[in-house]
Amino acid sequence: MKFMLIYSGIMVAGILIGYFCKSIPTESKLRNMLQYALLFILLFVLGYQLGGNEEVLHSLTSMGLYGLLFAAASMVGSFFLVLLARKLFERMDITSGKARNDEVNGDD
Amino acid sequence: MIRYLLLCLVAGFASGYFGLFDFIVANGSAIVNTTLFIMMFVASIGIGKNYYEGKADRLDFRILVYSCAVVAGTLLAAILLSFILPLSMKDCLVVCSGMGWYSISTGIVFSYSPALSVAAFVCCLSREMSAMFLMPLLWKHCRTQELVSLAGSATLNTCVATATITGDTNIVLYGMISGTVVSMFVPFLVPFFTAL
Repeated sequence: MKFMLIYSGIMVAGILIGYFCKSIPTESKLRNMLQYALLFILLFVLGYQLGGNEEVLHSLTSMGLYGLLFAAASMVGSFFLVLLARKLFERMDITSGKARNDEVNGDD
Repeated sequence: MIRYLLLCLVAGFASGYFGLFDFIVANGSAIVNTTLFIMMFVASIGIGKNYYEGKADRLDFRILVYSCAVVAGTLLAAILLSFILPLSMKDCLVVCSGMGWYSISTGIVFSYSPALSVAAFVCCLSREMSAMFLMPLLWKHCRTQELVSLAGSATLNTCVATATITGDTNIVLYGMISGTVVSMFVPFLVPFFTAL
C-alpha cells in the first residue's frame, strides 16, 4: 500500500510537471534513452533475482509447471472477458447513438 | 527490441544462477523500486504533455468494469482449469486469486499449503514476465483495455515497459488505475478461497 501511494505521488508530480513546464519537449531522445537504459537494468535485476532463487529453480519442474499453466489460463481468461466487456460497451454506444473513438493502438 | 530485452533477462538469470554480482542479492528490491520510480516519473511527464496537447485518453467508469472483468476472467480460468488438472477447484482458485501480486499471495497461500504457494509464486511471476513481453508485441493489434488485462495486478512494470517500447504513455495511467483496482481484490480473495 505504501508503494502504491509513492507511485501515485510520483505519477501525479510527473503529470503536473509535464503539463505545466512548457520548456520540456513532448518528444525527447534523452528521455527515451533513459527509459530504455532503466528498462534493461530492471529486466537484468529481475532475471538475476529469478536465477539466484533456488526455490524458483527447484519449483520450475514440479508445481512450477502448474504455475505456468495457471498464468497462461489467467491471462487468456482476463483478456477475453475484458474483450467481451468492451464489445458490450461498444454495442451499447451504437444503440444509444454515442460514437466513441476507440481505435486500435498505433492506428493514428 | 524485444529480442534485446529477452537477452537482458536471460543474462540476468544466468548471472544470478552463477552468483556473479552479490550486491544485487542484497539490494535487488531497492534497485527495482528506484528504477521503477524513475521510469514512472519520466513516463508521467509524457502523460502530462499528452494532456496539455489534448492527446491523452479520457478515463471513465468503464475502467472499473474492465478491472472487475480481469478478476472475473482470472477466476473463471481457474474454475475451468480445475476440470483438467488433478487439483480441486478450491486449490485452483487459491493459486489464481493472486492476480500477479506474488509477494502477498505467496505469503498467504504458504500457510494453507507450501506446495501450492510455489505454484502461486510461479503463476504470479510468469504472468508478470509474460505480460511484459506480450504487451509491446500485441500493442499494434489490441486495445489498451485487453493489453492491460494480461498483467492482472502487476501493471506497474509491464505498463512502464510497454510505454518505453511503444511510446504510448497513456497506457501507464490506465495500467496504474486498473492495477490498483485489481490489487484491491487480492487481500480479500486469497484468504477467502483458502478459508473455504
